[in-house]
Amino acid sequence: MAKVNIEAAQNVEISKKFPCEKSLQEQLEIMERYTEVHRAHLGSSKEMREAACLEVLYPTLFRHIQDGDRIAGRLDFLPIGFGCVTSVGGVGHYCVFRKLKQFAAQLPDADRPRVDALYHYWEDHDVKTAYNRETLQEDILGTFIETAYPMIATARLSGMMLDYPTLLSLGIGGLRQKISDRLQEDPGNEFLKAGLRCMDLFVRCARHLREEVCAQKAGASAERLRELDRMAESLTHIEDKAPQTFHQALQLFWLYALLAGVINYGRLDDFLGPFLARDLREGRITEEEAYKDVRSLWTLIENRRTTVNGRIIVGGRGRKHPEDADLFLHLCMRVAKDCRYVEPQFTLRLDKNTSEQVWDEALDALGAGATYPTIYNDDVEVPAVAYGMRVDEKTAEQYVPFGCTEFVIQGESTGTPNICINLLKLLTIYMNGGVDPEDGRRKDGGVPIKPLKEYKTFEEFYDGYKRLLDFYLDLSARAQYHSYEVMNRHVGFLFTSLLMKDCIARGKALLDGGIRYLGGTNETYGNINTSDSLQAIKTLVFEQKKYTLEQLETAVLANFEGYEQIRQDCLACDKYGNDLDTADGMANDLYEFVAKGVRDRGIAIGMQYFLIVISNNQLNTEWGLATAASPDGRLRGMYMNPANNPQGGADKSGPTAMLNSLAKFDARYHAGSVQNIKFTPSMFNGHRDIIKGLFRTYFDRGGCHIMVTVVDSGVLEDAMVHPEKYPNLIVRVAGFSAVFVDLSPDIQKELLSRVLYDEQRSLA
Amino acid sequence: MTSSGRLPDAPVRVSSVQRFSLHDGPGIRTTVFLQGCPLRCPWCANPETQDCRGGKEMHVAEIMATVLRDADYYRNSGGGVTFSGGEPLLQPRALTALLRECKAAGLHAAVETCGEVPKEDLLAAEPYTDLFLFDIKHCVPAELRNVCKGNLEGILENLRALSASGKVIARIPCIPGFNLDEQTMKGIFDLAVSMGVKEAHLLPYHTYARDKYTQLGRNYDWPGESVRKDALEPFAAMGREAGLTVRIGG
Ligand code: SF4
Repeated sequence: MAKVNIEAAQNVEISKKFPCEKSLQEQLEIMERYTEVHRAHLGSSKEMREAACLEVLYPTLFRHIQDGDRIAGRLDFLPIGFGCVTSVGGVGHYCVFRKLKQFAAQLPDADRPRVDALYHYWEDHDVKTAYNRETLQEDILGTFIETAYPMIATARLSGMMLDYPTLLSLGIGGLRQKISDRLQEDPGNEFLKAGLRCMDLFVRCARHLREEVCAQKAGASAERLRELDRMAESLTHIEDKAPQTFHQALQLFWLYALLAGVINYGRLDDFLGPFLARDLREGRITEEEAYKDVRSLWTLIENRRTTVNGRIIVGGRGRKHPEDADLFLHLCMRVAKDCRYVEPQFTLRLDKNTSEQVWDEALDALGAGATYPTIYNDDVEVPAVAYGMRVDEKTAEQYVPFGCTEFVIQGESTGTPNICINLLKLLTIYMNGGVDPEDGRRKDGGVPIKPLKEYKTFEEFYDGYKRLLDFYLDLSARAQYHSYEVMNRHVGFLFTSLLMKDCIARGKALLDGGIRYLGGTNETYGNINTSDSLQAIKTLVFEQKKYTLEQLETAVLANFEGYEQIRQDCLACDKYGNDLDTADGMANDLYEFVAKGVRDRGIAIGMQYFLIVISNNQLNTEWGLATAASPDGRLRGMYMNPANNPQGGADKSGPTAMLNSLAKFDARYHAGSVQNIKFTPSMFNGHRDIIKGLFRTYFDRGGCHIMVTVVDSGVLEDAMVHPEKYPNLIVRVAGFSAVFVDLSPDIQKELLSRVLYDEQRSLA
Repeated sequence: MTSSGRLPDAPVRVSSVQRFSLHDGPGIRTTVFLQGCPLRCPWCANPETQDCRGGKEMHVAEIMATVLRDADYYRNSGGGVTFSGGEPLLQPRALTALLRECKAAGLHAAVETCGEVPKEDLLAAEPYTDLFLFDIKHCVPAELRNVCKGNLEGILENLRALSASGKVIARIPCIPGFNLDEQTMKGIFDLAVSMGVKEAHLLPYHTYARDKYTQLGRNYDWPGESVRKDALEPFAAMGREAGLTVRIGG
């Protein structure tokens, strides 16, 4: 068994969280109560234990209503508690040990033993730790985010987007009824019984928030009073009844999402649009009021600070109320453009029928520097999802991206990426006889690797690498699947399960066999560095015979020091991103090997789908720091390429060539692939028709997605030197946006390395 | 697909092929910079293209293979291919072959020329060309001769012969200290109108090419600062007054 570092940082955290409103003593008491209840229920069903624990947390952890909030509901979370994802709290019954220690450090000495007791209890009961103990393998499979490993794994349930249409049509009362009806048929069902407790808890929370709202009334302006009255009314209404107004629908959706602990929200335009349209039609609300409501939602989402999440998706195929939905979409476009927050990750799905108006609104928001919306092309994605996830096209139309880009089917599937694999690190290990040049440790998992001099052809060499990949891909499918088994042993994710098909009908929590489509994703890193490296090896060693494999490896191991000519030759080889059949062909070959390999293994192990996501948070940089030099000419410790974009600066042939390269990967084999592009404002805003032509053509050619940053040349460089001048400069890092000056210098450098498309000038 | 059978075996001397060019005609374009120029403008932004012996050799099919990779982008943006330089008509057979390939592939093709070329070559290219971007740098023959080593009379004769085709847009590089004064610009506009030209593009002078000169081991000795786009507004108005459609920038 591997030694498990339970205090490792579990996720990327860039935006700073709000400190908890409660005093340290109160926090400690809540955690103790939680722990007590957990302990007392060790003999109960996991569902009842979870319900009891949730009753400790809620409504206690709700924060006060803040000035300007038009929707009620802000939550704190503590180092111990319950959740689905690492970015708000932790997973299942969790203890974030690192944060618990930081918490303890603020307490008077006398209280430390109380924390120690908690620490010890949770060492044996934290769900993620249990998973880690069973799954991690010394030198082979690490936990998130330990970059010395070629592969890392975690247990989490990220990306859940719930069946809000059902919630909004039934209301809490209707949902309760549905659970009760089912319980009649199966009276002993613990999941359903616990589900009813969740409904009660929801009501208690709505009432609590109503009191909080009323507490704000003292001294409020007449206008604020009207807002508060409306909030109070909506909270009363949604205790039981299905929402009638836009505001009630928003409030119900939001409160449920908070209690479920989900941080991605789905196709809001389609499920909120009809409420908005009716209110507008019947004069219950003005467009300006609706704008303020949506803006308030934007603020609440931003304030949760989940870094790579907060997805709101609008547009696209398969909407049931496209006209009403568009009303909401237009509001969102305005809000996104005006707010320029890093979250929500505002996402537009479009296809050939998308109106010129929507295109223009999207390009306006991007041109204003919002980095939103990120754009997905349904003409490619829908059939690709249908194939990749093995569902029909109608179902595939309900795909929604979450996190950096990976997809789930709204209300019907899980897709959490619980595995990340570093393809480039594996190549460096493979070339070094199975030993990681970074730390001298053997990481070949027992796969036989021949000495370099024995490879007579490129194919033989490449094949050997593929055998090492096979070992890791096998492990990845098992580790992903096992994360579900472990989580299922401990928790039901009740609020989430109750709104996912077909949990109520089957009377089972989602990981217990309730979910309709049990899917998952595997994040691959260093894809392009690896294929460019393979291309360089093929060219220099096997075609030009300029160097032997050993010579190349010697240079790489020396980080090219003393071998500058070899590095120049490596850099001069064809690189992905220039629309070259050579380098792009290599990238595609590797892509298909990995993507199909993962997909096939997922099916074999019993998942509906297990697909790679060529995703990118900042792990390309962090993992690059722990990865040896590579034959593409990349130096030791240098960032790796972002997602399936070229290594920064390697694409020298302009945006059409870069986009042509991007469009070459067949989208059917992945569940999302982050694709970034960066323009200057004068280029992007001064040539609107050109930009439209560029994107449209890219989409016609099979491009599935694009994320756009518009920033002036020199601004990022200046912001590195004078961060104080740029507190609001938003950039697209990859699958998420961030305030540039909040990023670490390594990541800032990686962003700078990417090509910025500007107008060229001619004067002949 | 290039249509075989017409490709001349002689290679073409090419300085570079630039995809996603936005300033050499409408829409998204690929600009093929052919090597060699008869003039020597001291502010030239592409000095590396001047020498007829420079550049690299490419075959027509090779050039077309690159050009065709972006064919969809041209179609969706009203763009195409531009042959520039240097002076593309210094390699007339190659240019005509390239233009015919473009025509066969249904691509919009533009030729950027300084006009200092044999008239028959220009006219031979005309049927396969959709747009000529024709430089008018000055209205006084002596000035053009002294500064750029060009022959204005000959250039104008070519312009006259070509403008009847309706395919010509005049390009006027706006160079302080050379032509960027009221009198000269007015002269250029009048000249353009008298030649039957309907549209003119004013190109603001810039100094971005300075580094290229250093790399070539040459001095960049044109004095003066880059011209801002808006500084050309009064001149654009003047051109419109003269009856032209005028745009600032390519
Ligand atoms: S005509 Fe054009 S290419 Fe030739 S020297 Fe003048 S500016 Fe340069």
